[in-house]
Amino acid sequence: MKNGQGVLWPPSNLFRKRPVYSGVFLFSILELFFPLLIRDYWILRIIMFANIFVIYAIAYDLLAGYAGLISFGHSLFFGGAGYVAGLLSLNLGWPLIVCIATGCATALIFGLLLGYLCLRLKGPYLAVVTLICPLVLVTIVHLSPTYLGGDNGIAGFAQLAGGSLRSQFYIVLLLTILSLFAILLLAQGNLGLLLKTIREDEMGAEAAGINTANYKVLAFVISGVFAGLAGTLYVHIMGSVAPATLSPHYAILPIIMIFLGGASSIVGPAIGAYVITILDLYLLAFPYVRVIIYAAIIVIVLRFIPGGLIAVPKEIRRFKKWQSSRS
Amino acid sequence: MDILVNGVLLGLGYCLIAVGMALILGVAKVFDLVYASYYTIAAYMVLMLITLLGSTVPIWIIFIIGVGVAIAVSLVTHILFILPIRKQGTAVLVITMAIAMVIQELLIFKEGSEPVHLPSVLKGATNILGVWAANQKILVGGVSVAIMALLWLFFAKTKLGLAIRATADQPEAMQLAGGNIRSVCLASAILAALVAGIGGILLAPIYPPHPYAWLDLLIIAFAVMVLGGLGNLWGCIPAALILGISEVAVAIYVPYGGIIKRSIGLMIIFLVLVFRPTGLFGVRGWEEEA
Repeated sequence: MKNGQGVLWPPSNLFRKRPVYSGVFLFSILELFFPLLIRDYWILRIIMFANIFVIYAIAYDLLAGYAGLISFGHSLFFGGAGYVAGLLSLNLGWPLIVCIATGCATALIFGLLLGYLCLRLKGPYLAVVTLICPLVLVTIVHLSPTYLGGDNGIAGFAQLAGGSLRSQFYIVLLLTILSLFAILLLAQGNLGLLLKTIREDEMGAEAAGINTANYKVLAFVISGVFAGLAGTLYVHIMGSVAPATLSPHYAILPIIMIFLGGASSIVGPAIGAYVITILDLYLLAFPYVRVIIYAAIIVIVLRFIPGGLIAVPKEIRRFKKWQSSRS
Repeated sequence: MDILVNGVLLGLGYCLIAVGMALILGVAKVFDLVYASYYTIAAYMVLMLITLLGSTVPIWIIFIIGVGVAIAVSLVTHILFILPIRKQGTAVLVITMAIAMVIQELLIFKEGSEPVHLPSVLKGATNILGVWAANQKILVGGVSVAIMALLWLFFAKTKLGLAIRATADQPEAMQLAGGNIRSVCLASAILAALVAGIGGILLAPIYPPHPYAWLDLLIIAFAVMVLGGLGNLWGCIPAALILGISEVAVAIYVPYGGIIKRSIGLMIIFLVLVFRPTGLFGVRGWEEEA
């Protein structure tokens, strides 16, 4: 108990993490003024999409980073919930909030089913099983051009806030901040600790009296619901939904985001989501080299900082230590 | 009979795709997603050389160069990007995914995103048990069987094969015994790229390759390998045959079969894995040793 830390004070590692959290807090306050500061329609739209992908990435981080269950098919939740919300909105004309809630409920059911089915699976086996689910769903969509829109997807349903960008931006921002803090609380609290325990040593966790099966399913469910939220927001901003939202591309995106940002830290994946989305959409101006630049940045970052962007301060500290030990 | 012959030939093709993946992920335990790009690289290389050199050079030299380029790309990726961060499995996963995307874009840049057509090595068709099958498909099946046999010989008889198996089992013990893990990893990478290159050149006339093909190939290779079980190279054969025969059967008998055949095959894999979490012939405790 040196330096007055201990019983009364929060544990020292909370102090160390605090700058990151204040950064997140400041950034979300700053974003409240973005619609006033930024006049460019396109830039504001990119930031809004980045916020949606923040929800998607942090939801995925809870499952892949904390619980260590690397799923290759998270587009099942993203696209599945999006399709449900879009179909309800188009065919039944339900209010958007009900559509979004139903979409999330669908994602919850998918999460329960997939979670229970995948309980015994690990590593690559889990990856393949989760990869298969959205692929099968894509085939179902292809087979039903009349009801599900087939290859072209469905379009023409209500947009969020009647298509007004500024209102959309604020709705998305509010939901992003709420999800961010909800998941941060879960991940920094008992649930995150339990999931990490299960990831590191499943047998040990069982021996300590943790019902590992329940917590793994819970991780799938929570992660699925938030990914579903991101999906429904995405399709209601686009006003259309295509089978592409179920494709492996959208399953790979959160994987890249969380490992580029730094897995199992929630803030890292949020940074990763920002970097990837902004790069991806900003580079649209350079069609030929877009993917090359984007992939090259991922390769270079991970080659030299395998811990992701969140580990940059640690790497700098290590570098300084190494420098001082040399002189 | 129709189903059996076509299914077995298709399955052997899948086996050719999956065996390299089984080598690199199942045995060497490196999550190398660039793997499927070696197919497209080899096929495109052959295409470019054929248009460049025409008929001045015999075709088999072009094939060897194509496979050689695939091996070179694999070596470069492994030395520069994978070996230094071999311990962080997930970073390797994402980095290889990004490299595969770079290769895809380079191919689009060079040749466009349309599928390309390669000439068949063997023309015509042969009658097997009353079913006509294209000679190229039979060649793929034959090569696939030959490669499996050669790999069996390699792992059972040679010292390098023994070293690769030992590294897969217990890397630390292997190092204590004086083995060099780096070179063993590189050896398995070369082997995988070799198989992938041959597979790419032979399969290209049947399934025209396009720059995005790596994702489809990766899914097939991944699914077949996992169904067979990680750490067990031979599991690939029955797994690939199951997938091949079921796809052909669905395509023939079920309405809309052409669209849903892949999904049905994948559903079978899904069900098998749910009830047998280590695949059909998986090595138990593969994860714990990794």
